[in-house]
This record gives sequence, C-alpha cells and structure tokens, in this order.
Amino acid sequence: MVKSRSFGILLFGTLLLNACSPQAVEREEPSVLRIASFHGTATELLFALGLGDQLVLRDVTSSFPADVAAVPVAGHVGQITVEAVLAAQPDVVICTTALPEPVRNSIAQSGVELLLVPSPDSPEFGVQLYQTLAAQFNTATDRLSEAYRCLSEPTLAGTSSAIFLYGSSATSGYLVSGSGTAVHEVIRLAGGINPTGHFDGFKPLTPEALLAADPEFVIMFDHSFEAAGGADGLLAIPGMRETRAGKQRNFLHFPGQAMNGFGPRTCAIIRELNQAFAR
Amino acid sequence: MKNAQLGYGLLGAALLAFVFLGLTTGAYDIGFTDVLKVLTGDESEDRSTHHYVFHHLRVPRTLGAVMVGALLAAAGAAMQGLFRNPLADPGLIGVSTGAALLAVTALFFGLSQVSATIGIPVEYVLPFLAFLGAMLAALLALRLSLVHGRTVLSVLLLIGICIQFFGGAVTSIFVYASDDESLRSITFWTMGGFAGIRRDMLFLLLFTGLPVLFLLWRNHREMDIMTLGETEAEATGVNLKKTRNRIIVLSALAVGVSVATSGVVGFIGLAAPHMARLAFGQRHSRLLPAAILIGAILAAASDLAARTLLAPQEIPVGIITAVIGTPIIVSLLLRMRGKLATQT
Repeated sequence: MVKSRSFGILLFGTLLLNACSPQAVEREEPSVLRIASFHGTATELLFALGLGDQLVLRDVTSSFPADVAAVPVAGHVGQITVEAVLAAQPDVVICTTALPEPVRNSIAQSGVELLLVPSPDSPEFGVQLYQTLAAQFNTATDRLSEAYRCLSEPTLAGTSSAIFLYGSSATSGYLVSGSGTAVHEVIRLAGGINPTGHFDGFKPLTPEALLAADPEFVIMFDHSFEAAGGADGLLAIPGMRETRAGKQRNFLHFPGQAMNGFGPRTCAIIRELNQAFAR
Repeated sequence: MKNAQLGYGLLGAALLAFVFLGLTTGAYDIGFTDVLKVLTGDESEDRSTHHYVFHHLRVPRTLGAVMVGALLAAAGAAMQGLFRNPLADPGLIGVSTGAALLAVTALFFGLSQVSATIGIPVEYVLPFLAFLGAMLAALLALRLSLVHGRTVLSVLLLIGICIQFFGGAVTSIFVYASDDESLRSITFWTMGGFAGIRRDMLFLLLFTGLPVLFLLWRNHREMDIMTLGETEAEATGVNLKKTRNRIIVLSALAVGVSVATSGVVGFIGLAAPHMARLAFGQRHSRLLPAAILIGAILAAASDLAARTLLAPQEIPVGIITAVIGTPIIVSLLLRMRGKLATQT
C-alpha cells in the first residue's frame, strides 16, 4: 500500500514537472490530432463531424465548407509531395488510393499514420467513408446518420428520364454519363432513369445520341452549367431544342462535390432531384 | 583558356549554391543549423522527421535533379553535334516518346495492376517501363536506320520522327480512353518532376549517369571532327560507324535514365548546350563540361523554384524549365547575334 502510494506521488510529481517544462508549454494541446485530408468528401465530413479546426493540410478538391479556405492546399492529389505533407506535421493523413502508392508508402515510412479510406464513388462507399471516419474519430452523430440514410434506402419512386452532361462547348464538347458513374447512381436513387445507361462511364455527346435519348431533364454541375452559358447555352447544343428537356427548359444543376461525392449533402440533392422530377 | 577556367569556376560556384539552397529550402522547415546537425549526427529533437526529410527526400531529389540536368544537357550537346543541327534535342530519335509510351500504358492500366502483373514493386513500375521504352525506341531507331551496317543520319532522323508520331498517337488513344484519375497522372508525368526520385533511384542515376557523362566527354574529339561533315571526318581516320553508334547509345542511355527517374523534363537538353556554345565556343572538349554544368544548374534551379514558389504545392518542373530557360536563351541569342552570324 505504502509502495503504491509513493509510486503515485512519484508519478504525480513527474507529470507535474512535465506539465511545467518548457517543452510541454510549447506544444499547445498535445491531445488534439492534426489531420491532413486529401479527398473533398472526407474533408467535408470532417467539418460535419466537428473536426474542421484540426485540419492542417488539404488537396484541391477539399473546397467545402467555406471555412476550409483557411487551410493550406498541398495541390492536386496526384502532385502532393511527401515533404509538403511532413511540413504540415499531421498526426494522421486521410487519403484514397488516388494518392500515388509510392507517396503513401513514404508517408507511412516517415511514421505518420495513414488512413486509407474508400473513395466515395458509389452510395455504399459513401456510407462506408462516413462510418470509417466516425469510428476513427469516435464522433458519429444522429444528425449525420440521418443525412446519410437515403444512400442505403430503397430508391425513391419515379419514372422521369434524365441525362447528366459534363464539360462545356468551350472546351472539347460535352460528355454524357452512362452507367457505373456517381451521377448515374444519384439519378437512380432520386427515382429517375438514365436513358444513356447502356454504356459504362462517360462518352462524348453526339446530336443523334441526344435525340435518341430524348431526356425529360438535363442535369449538370453548377460550374459546367455556368461555363455552358446557362439554359441558352445548352439550347445551342445541336439537337437539344428537339428534346423534351429542351422544349420545357428542364435544366437542373447542383454543386459538383455535393452531387458526385456521396457526402453529407448528397441525400438533400437526391430529394431535391426527386421533387423536381415529380413536378 | 583563363576565361574558360573562370567560366567553369563561376558555373561550379552557381551549381554549389543551388545545391546548397536545394538541400536547405523546402516546404518542411529545416534550417541550416538543423542540416548541420543532421549531417553530424547530432539530432536531438524531431530527429526522425528531420532525418527523413533530409536523407530520403531532399538529398535524392536535389542531387537527382543535378544528375538529370547534366545528363540531358550532355545528350543534347552530343545530338546537336552528331546531327549538326542546333534544333536537335535528346528526344529527337524517339527515346522520350518510347519512355512515355510504356509509362502512359502503365498509368492507364493502373500502377498496382501492372505491378502485380509483371511482378515488380509498384515504386519501380514507372522507372522500369520508362527506361525499357526509351531503350526499345533507341534500338528500333538505330536498327531501322542501318544501311550496310552503317547508321544513316537522315534515315535515323526520319525514323525518330515516325516513332514520335506513332508513340504520340498511341499515347493519345490512352489519354482519350482514360478516366479522370489516370488522365491527371498521365498529364503530370509528362510534365516531369524530381519529387519521385528516391535514394535507390539516385544511386541508379549516379552509377549509370557518371560513366555515361565521362564516356560522352571522351568522344569530344570525334564529335569535333564529325561537325566538319562525313567525308572530312572519314578523311581524318575517324571510324564513323562505331563513333555514331556509340554516341547514340550513350545519349539514349542518358535520356533513358533521366526519363525513368523524372518523367519528360523538356527544354534543358535543347537550351543548355546552346548556352554553353554561346559562352564557351564550339569545341566539344569545353562545350560538353560547360553544357553539363549549365544543365545541372538549370535543373537544380528549376526544382528549387518548382517546390518553393507555391509551397506546399508543387509546380511541374517542365513548366519552370521552359519559363526560366526561354528568356535566358533569347537574351543570350540577342546579345551574341553578331558572333553567331560570323560563325555560320
């Protein structure tokens, strides 16, 4: 008993001394993890989980919420260097396989914890990413679980046909989404049918394919819609005026990351899209 | 002669300065005193990270950049001498295209996938395939341009151009069919960069590069004679067939290891020999060492700029070499116009 008490006093004394030493004063809050995040959805989730102020480095796709602007950018995930990562002194680096394997290996070798998360390019992986981060940082919330619920629920009702266009006429023309893409899944979950779902991935849009698809709705990302010159710009695409979407000017656009990333905002977009289809 | 020695001295000092800056500057803050501590083994605090950044990242990339710059410049000078054409650069016979073709193929199918298929660790997939592509392209160009056992330069040049067009077209097919991620990887790789040079790759660069540089320099007399023209060269007793093949193989090796470790770094191979020629004259005994030093300086300076201008982001080094190099060479040309006019 005496032995354990003296050990306790010794331990307390050591802790006190440590706490008062200049080294301990220099480090502000040693228990707060410094996080680097190299995926837009993961970064958005970190903020939603209340961990935004622990973010010390991000990639270019991490642009939401607005508060993230204060965090230094390490560049595109394919161009991030190990030295830039180490300079930010993170305790943990969150990334997908998009961060090149040699860079991942070097980061791990340097002693920084690497959290390899699934790329949220499908509803299942979106939910998995949320669960992984919530478990890692022990911060799941009911509000967020609710925000993710629609991704694992049955598809909303509806029969509207909608295509998704990417790019703009100013660059190399438009690409239309087939199946196996995030946007195809969003259309499906919102109760829509993608009439160009018979091929995989994205393909250049031709006037004949547009007329054959004859969609009721055309969906784009906000920035593409703007670059296309809005509804008038889209109506200038050969064949567009003849489609049902063109005649009704049924052009919808959403923030890219929110729609494409299966993150905390995606379900709201799915509901919005479902309501638009119903109108 | 005295002027030349002074010139080498200045170039050497500039190179040392850039190497010093390269080793002490970067996104991660290691001051000069910390560098000394790392070097002398006296590292108390943050020992592992300082040590790691210096030995595993800074030293390989800085010295690697120096070697790549030197190799590209030496190959450029040799090719310009061989083809007697100031527009010749190391990529002329399709070496870079061959490297790019296999590298882009690997990036298209995914490095991990390729690594599993060919049984090479993922870190070495790109360097290995780029080097293999470079060598295959060089051998193909050499083989196809042989007429009665002798390399015909005009044929070699045309074959090189054909390889460039064909390789470019196949690369475009992969680019066209790529998804977003591999498209970006391909784009970044073709812009070049020294960030991927690790210690093992630095050793490869040194062990291959230094002998190649020395052997190229040893051919300086033959290169001088060859600039006179084929008939004149043969009259002096130079074995044209062997010399040509030797220079081409050495240049291809130089470009091959460079592309394998740092992707396609443009401009240095073209610009450094010209800068050297303007300042040190046409004789290859002086021209080659000067070109090597200038190439090394250009690469080290570009690397420094690439990783510090927008730190912690990194600018692809190919952009910097062209942006730094073009004004330098144009201003040199403008200043030396008169001298050049009398030479030609």
